[in-house]
Amino acid sequence: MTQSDSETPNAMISVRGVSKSFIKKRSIVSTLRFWRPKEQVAALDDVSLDLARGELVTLVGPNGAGKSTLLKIISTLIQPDSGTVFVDGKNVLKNPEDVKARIGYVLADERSFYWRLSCRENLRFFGSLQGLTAQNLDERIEISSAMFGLGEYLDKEFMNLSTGQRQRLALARGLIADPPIVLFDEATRSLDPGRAERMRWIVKDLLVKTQGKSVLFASHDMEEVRAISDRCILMVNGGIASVGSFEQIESRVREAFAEEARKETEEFTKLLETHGIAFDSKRVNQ
Amino acid sequence: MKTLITLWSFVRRDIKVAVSYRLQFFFQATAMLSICITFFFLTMMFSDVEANIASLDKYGGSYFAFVTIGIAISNYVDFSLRTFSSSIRQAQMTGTFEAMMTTPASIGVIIGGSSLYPLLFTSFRSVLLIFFGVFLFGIEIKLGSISALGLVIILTVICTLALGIFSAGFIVLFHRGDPVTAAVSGLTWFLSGVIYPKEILPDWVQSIAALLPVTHTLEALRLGLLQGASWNTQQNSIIGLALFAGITVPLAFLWFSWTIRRAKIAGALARY
Repeated sequence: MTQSDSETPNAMISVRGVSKSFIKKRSIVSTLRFWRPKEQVAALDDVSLDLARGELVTLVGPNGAGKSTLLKIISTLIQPDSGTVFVDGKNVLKNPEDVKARIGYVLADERSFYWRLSCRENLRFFGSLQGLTAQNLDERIEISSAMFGLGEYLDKEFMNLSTGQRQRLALARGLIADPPIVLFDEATRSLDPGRAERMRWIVKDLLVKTQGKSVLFASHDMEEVRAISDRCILMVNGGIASVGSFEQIESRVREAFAEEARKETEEFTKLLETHGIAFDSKRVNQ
Repeated sequence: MKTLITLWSFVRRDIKVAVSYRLQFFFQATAMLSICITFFFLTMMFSDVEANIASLDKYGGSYFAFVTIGIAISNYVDFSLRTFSSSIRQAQMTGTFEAMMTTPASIGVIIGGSSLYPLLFTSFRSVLLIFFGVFLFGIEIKLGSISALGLVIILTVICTLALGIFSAGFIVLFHRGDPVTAAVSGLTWFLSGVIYPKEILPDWVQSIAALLPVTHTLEALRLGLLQGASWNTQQNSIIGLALFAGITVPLAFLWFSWTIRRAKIAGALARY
């Protein structure tokens, strides 16, 4: 992983100077004042990164740091305001379908299935959208579901699965087309500790070391990032704050999480004070 | 071939979801039957004066036959648009729309595939209504040019698909408040001659009605099913439908692509 201003040849993902702002939700009154400039919230600010073939990079940072926005831009779900993104040499804006054919995206939202269909039927549907043919669809369903221990649940309706099983189905869906690049967005959020560890083993040893896939893994779980990372990127307030091995940047990662928590506690304390409730916030921030 | 397989996977998905709601099929059939019964008795109420209604002569003189075809087609367009836009809205809310958009399937395939089942299902409802009318309540069918009728049905499906795509674009952009379905359903009911012959409307209103595809569909189906009309008689309706389809289909796809682009800029594909 490198972070530079020039494009790196042969990088599987190359992000250069990407910025993204969203229009802040407005009241009806301010919507009617359409001539006034719209208030914007910066989600990403001049982000650049490269991901090489067979490399695993973690994106770590507190909630709202811009990790999911970056993954969505790479997977063509969101358009950047400025900057360029290439996936295996394909521009995300000019060749979105080629880009999507190379990416498996494991969404953080484990509800994004058809609730009245079985796991197999869901995987069959999304597999066919991935371009898998009838011949290899069954084989890929079998492999990807077994990878996450879903074999016995394949014919169970999605609505009858537990949250963790749904999350594992989302993982299986992301890998069903055997893509060379995989993006994970908070992929172990709902898994029990044993399965989360098994999932980390699959990502690191099977997908990256054995199969040579490139993986971008977003998480706010520090222990997970420590266990899985060769290198990691700390994102804070939409920008890249640090890049290095987890050990190199651990103190900055801890500081970033603590800072976010401190801000929220201070705001909460002020709110309590306005209601006349005394609260010693120093004890919380210790 | 690959596209056809992908489109079929949408239909298979929607059939499986629909079949899982077993009672829904039963209630759809009874709803069609109750519409038939209602209009059958309504027609009986003024059966004495039916023969004197000159504007019905063109369509064979039976109000029950006239209104059954009217309701079948307006119901087809209205229900197709509603089912289509609600399936897009539901996909937004559950996150499946975003999940579909992460796959390499093109927007055309995703939106076309999402519309297939609503169109097929509502066709079944309309055929069922006409079936009840013919076999339970004695509507006399005088079949005209089958090729003309077939073409009218295909063009109607294409026009409905275009309107559905317009409607889906509004859902992608605004999530709620789709003006297309409301406008098309309202105007069709009022102008296209669903429950009364359009000939009773003032000439200038009839000119506006000619802009709606359902007006041409109703004219062609009534003449083709009740009066045995030839290809030549159906020609104007076919041209009207073909013009509407030719103009609206490319516009609908352009509109939908634009709304997807706007949603990607706003980061709103998964917002609901």
